[in-house]
Amino acid sequence: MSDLVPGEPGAGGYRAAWHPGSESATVAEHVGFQYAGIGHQTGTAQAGLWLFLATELLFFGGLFLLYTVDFARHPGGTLAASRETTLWIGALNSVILLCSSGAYTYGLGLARRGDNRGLFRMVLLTGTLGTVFLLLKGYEWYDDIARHLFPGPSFVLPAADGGALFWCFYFVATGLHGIHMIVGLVLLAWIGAGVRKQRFSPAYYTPVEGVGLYWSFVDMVWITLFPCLYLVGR
Amino acid sequence: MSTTTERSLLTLQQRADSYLTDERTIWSWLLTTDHKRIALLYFASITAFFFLGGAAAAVMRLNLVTPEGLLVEHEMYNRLFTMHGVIMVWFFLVPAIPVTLGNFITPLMLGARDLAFPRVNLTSWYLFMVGGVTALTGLAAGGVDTAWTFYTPLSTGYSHGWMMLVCLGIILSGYSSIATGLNFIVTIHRLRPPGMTWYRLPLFLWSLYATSVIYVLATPVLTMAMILLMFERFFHVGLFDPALGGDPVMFQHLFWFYSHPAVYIMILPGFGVVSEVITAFSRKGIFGYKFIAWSSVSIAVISFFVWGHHMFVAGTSIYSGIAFSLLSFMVSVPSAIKVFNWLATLHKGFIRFNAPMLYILGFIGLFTIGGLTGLFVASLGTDVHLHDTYFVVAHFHYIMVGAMVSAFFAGLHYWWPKITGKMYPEIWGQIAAATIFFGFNMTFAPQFILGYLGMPRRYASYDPGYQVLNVVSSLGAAVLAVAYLMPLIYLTWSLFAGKNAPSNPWDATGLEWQTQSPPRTENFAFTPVITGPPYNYPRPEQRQHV
Amino acid sequence: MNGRAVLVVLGALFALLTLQFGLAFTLVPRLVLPGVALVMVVIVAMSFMRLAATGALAAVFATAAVFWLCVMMSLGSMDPATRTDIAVTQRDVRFPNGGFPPR
Repeated sequence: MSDLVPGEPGAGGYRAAWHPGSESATVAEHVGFQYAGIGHQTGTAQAGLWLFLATELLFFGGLFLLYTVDFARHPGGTLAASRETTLWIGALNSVILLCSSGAYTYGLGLARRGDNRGLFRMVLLTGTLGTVFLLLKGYEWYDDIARHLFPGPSFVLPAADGGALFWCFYFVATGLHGIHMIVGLVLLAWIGAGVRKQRFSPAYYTPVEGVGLYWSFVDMVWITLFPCLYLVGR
Repeated sequence: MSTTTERSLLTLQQRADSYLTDERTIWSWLLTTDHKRIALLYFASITAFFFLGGAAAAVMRLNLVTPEGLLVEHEMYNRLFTMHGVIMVWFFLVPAIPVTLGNFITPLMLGARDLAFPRVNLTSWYLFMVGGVTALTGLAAGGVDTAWTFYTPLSTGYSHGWMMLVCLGIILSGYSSIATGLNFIVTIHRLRPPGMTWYRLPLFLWSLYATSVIYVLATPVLTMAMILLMFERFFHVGLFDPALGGDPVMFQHLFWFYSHPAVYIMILPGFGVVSEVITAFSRKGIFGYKFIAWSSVSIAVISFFVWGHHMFVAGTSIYSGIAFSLLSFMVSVPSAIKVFNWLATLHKGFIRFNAPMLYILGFIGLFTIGGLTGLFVASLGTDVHLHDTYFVVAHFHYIMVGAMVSAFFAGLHYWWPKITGKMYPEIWGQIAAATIFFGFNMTFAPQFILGYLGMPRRYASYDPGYQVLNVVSSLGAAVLAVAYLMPLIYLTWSLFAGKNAPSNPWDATGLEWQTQSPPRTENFAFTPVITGPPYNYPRPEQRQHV
Repeated sequence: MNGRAVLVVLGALFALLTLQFGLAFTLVPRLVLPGVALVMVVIVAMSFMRLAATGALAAVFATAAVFWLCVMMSLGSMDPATRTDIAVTQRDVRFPNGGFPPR
């Protein structure tokens, strides 16, 4: 039978959750009662976020599997269709997203040092860059559809040899990526609001870190998508 | 035993401070983050879905008593088996044990006060409910006739139905599963008490961990398959359209990449329950702990490598068929290892035939039959004849219903005293277990023969030569239906008039039995420290008999 | 990360992006382009997302995800890659050995 003795502080690295210990009151209120301390909770939240990103990788992975199979089956059609993408928008968007990821990471460093004003500015910058990305994307879609690149009766390329497949993939992939960007913007707004309300400090900034992980992941999806969509046909 | 006065004092004391009585408003239930209350919310949901899916099956079996089809036309029959499959797979079996027993018992087994992410837990219930209502709306409004597998191009181009709603419901329930799985994985990694190394974890948690790995990695691929399906249905162009050079079989690849591991989602928690119940009711430590633990993990891993065995006759290449067939044979090995270890656990055990044990003994037999018949369909030559016949139907029902639902009831009865603080009437539990076993075999054993003789599945009518076996099967279904109603009745009865349960009615090991029945909201007053292995019952030679 | 480190990583990423852009117009096999993207992804994971510094569990999850992605991509393309294609439009083609396509 397992012995039940009160857990001693430091036993196996866990401390009893009902002895708040050395955390300040403002931090302790963020710690759930199932955790032994803020460090325990933060480490757990980080692990959980990476696991969530693992699910997202598998999610986009299925789409890339289809792209690979279709490219292998219809190389000519795919390359021809890729040539019709608007390269300058894709390239500019890539630069914008990379900068936004860098900006947010810098902001995260500021959060770690307690510079809330700087963090807010970086969150604002990231959000602005993200919005510009979406606006450019929206314009690009409008232009693509005007040029009859959405597969259907008025599709401009020969449909059967893989061109239509490529453009289906294009709209699905960029659409799903765009939805993830919108969710990211909402999360950024939430972080921004939290910064204004003085929720974060060097002792507790886990949500800031979490949103950063998500934003960087969405960036990673675009980094992989960019060559597949815009560069293969050149 | 105790006098009436003592019993009522005990009642007062037990009832005073439990998670059931702490707060009584409706919002305290609907906005709870307590894993125990969320488990009960889920219980209610999946029970409702179980009976809805069962109702569809009842109509189907009734229809099949005559060769021409007694009740419904073919189009309606198609909608019925689709409804049965969709509800039973996504809204009953895939969540079943993890969201009910898993949610309730996991923190208790870990000596923890809740899961790692309680609000994510509540969100997963809401996602499940919204997804369920959405899918049910689609099924009720006019239904879907493609079968739960939604193969393209029928589903994308030709089916007239409410596919978009059903697909959306499935996507939402998928996010619910991902949330649950994520919660369990992180909880088991991070919230173990001091002294609980991985090899001191109860085996229920090993199997929940393996289940959660599948939840987390397979479900996103289903989400993508559903999204692409909806896109193609809506825009009439898509990646599976042969006219555009696309490949409808790729839908099947994405679909089965999830759906094969999904069937292991359904069975793995059952394995965990078996390990818990079999040790408690033979008062013996588990035989081969590490083998059972690692077999759960290896089943979870290998399950991702075998999905192509659903597509042997779909037009996939012979080389891929050979590879998937070989891998499918490999995945049966860890399951067999478990069965041998459980049997060895029973040997020289002090066996008590309470209801949970009866269900588990039934599980072992039915699972073995179901698993062995899987090998027939995993081998390429025989699958050509057996694919899409009742043989396959019988095979997966032996595992999903015979084994898994039995395991669910075993766990339900085993932990019922802990969850509700009441004892169920033992004699009725045993009668129900026996009736379920009998009714189940009567329903599905004839279907092996029907399939071997060539009766196709998903047909509303059939050749008159198959009628006798179909009638036997339908009669069995009627027995099974009555048998499933029994626990509903006596378990509900026990809530109001059952005996109060002590904290450890089965005298079992495990942290969940060290706290009161029903537990307090915060589960434990202090974090336990683990100093020994689980299931440390006295060895047979050291047992003292009175 | 401090400002200088962020700028260094950004510089590396832009360099790779330019390389990728340039390579697209040459005759390199198309597979190289997503390959460069993969390098950029690893850089982002290790620097902006601090995968190495976060802890063993996060690294386990990330590795598992990549492993399973590889399983899906490889086993999933095995079938399309090994099929013997029989064109639907060649309905009127008759083969000498009783209707089966030649090996």
